[in-house]
Amino acid sequence: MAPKKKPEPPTTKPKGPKKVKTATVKPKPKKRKKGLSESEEVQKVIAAASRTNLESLVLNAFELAKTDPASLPNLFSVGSLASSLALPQGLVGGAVVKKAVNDRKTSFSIGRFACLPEVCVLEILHYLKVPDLLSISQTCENFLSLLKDPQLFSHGLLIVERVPSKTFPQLSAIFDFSKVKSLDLRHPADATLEEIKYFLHNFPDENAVESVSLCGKKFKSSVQLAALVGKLDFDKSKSNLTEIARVAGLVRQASVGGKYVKGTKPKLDGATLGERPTPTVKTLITKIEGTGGYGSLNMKALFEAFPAEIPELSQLVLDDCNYSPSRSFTGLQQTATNDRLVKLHLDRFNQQYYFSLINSDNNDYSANILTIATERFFENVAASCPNLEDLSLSCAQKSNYTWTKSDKGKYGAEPALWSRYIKGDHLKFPALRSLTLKGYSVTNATGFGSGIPSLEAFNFSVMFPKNSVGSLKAEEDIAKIGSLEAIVTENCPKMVKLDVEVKYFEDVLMCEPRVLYGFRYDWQDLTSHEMFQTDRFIECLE
Amino acid sequence: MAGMTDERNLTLLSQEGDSFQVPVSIARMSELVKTMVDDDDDADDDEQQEVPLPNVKSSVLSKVIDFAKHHATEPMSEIDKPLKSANMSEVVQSWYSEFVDVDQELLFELILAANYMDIKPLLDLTCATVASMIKGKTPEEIRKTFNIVNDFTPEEEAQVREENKWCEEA
Repeated sequence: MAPKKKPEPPTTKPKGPKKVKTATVKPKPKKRKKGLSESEEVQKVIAAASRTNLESLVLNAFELAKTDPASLPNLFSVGSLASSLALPQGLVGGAVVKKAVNDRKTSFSIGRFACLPEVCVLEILHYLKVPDLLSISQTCENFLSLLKDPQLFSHGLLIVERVPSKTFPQLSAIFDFSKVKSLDLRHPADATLEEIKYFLHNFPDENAVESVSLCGKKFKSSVQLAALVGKLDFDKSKSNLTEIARVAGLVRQASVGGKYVKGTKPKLDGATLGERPTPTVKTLITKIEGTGGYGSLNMKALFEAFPAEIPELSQLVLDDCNYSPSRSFTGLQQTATNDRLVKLHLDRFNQQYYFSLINSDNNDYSANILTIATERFFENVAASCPNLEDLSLSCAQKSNYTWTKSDKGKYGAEPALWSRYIKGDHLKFPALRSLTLKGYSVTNATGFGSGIPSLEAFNFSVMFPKNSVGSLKAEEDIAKIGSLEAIVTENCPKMVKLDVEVKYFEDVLMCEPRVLYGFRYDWQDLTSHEMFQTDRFIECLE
Repeated sequence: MAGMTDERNLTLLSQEGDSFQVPVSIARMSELVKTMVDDDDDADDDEQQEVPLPNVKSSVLSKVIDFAKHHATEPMSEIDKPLKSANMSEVVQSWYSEFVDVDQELLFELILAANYMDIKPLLDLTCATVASMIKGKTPEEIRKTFNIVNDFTPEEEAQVREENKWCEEA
């Protein structure tokens, strides 16, 4: 934009009552000597100085000048100030001037940056990452000093682009992290856990750091990260940030102490993380809560996988499970022992492969198969988990009847037959204190609970289709269930909470089994074989 | 006055005394000017205010006004911290990247003007531009670019260089 020509002559006030406001009255800086740059001027002052007896006088004068910062727009003015105070430059202690300059917060003297207030230089530095800041620190001593200004991180975020070994101590020494609220370690290299811990512990206030990210995964706080780091006991040669980054992939699930908590809609970010959790990481996990269908559970494989790869697992809670009885018939004797497992909840624990077994209309056959499968399942669990204290199984209630093919090719229910029966004396869990069974019926109630001497809480509920009531089979089942309370009370002397309930639902549905079972089609990418590769299983849990 | 600022002009006086007619709505982008205009709400509407800016040269003030005018039509996108790229055209809209494609002296004067007049977007843009000139450079290149005198002793420099060796290697 072209300016209007300056009015002439300047001595004559233009006509009209123009109001002139003064933005800030600032004395014009003294003209500097031609051919001598500001830094040269200052260097001259500093170099010439040798005495310190005027130190206080200069400093006082400087303090005075500081009350009007604009009067000292640059370092040159410090020298000018000394001159204007009639102090022979040769008498001005160089150290004093230098100290005054360092103390001064309104100007900053480094080459071209000399003309800028320090606040502007800091503003520029805010746009730079740590590697560039470190490059700056090497340019000159004054910059190195400036980088110690806590205001450098006043925006609260410290992004460490690369984190090689030996770097953390350096960073802590160069920068003041007291304003850092969020620490982002994006591209870890080979820093060891010890170095990470050192870094975190060297924050002025470790608790002030509200979040720490590794490879895009956010920890709630540095304390959490440090605690987690402390939990890891890697071989030092392998204990680098990449390793931690793998932990970070589990952070939503593995909080401090290795608790594995379900995410709301978890998904492992394979693209970012690159690798799945390592076996070492899994050693942290003590609890798994998963939601969403898990295909057909091969309990044998499941029970073998967890103690092998997640030895500390004590709680396994899975929802929307399906159980493959045909698989569980094989190799039961080789099932690994899950000593640590004390809680096992399998909800919507349906028997998906049931349908593959009933190609004929031989309902007795299918019912028997499933009853045997149920027995085998309990045997398997009892054998695998000797310390189990809390067992909860729930079947999809509406599937609690057998299926036959209708004339139209769809499956329909035969309500009088029950697919899952439990023999009264079949449950043998020496340590079990709580048992929940939903959607089961009983073959024989007589000995129910006799194999569970420690049982303190028993919750049994089942739903019958209303149109099954009146059928002989249903009446028999309901009668057996009705006698459960008294029998269990007798067989389980420690029982304190007993709840046996029979409910009824309206109509038997005619629909595709998958719909009835509530299968989730978004899980189709997970094959049952993959289920037993624990990595894949964890990935799907996420 | 506050309610009818859009239609009126005010005069900004540069360090040299040159006057620049600027719509009040544009000039108010400067917090400094805004404060002065707001302070003058009781002034006679017929008067045209003059705001002296003794710290801003005409050449710089002209650029500042250009910036403010353009910003009114195409607001500058926010600049990420830290910078995503050393190329300003990848950081802000092309007009703004071209705006700061100036010699270093003018750029630093723009920073001073933005700071003095308290125009945050301009300060952001100019500071980010200087940062982009630092980004990815070695210490020696930074010194050369900004005429910084190396005041480390050779021993200190060797030590600092050794400590930050990873930075160069990466």
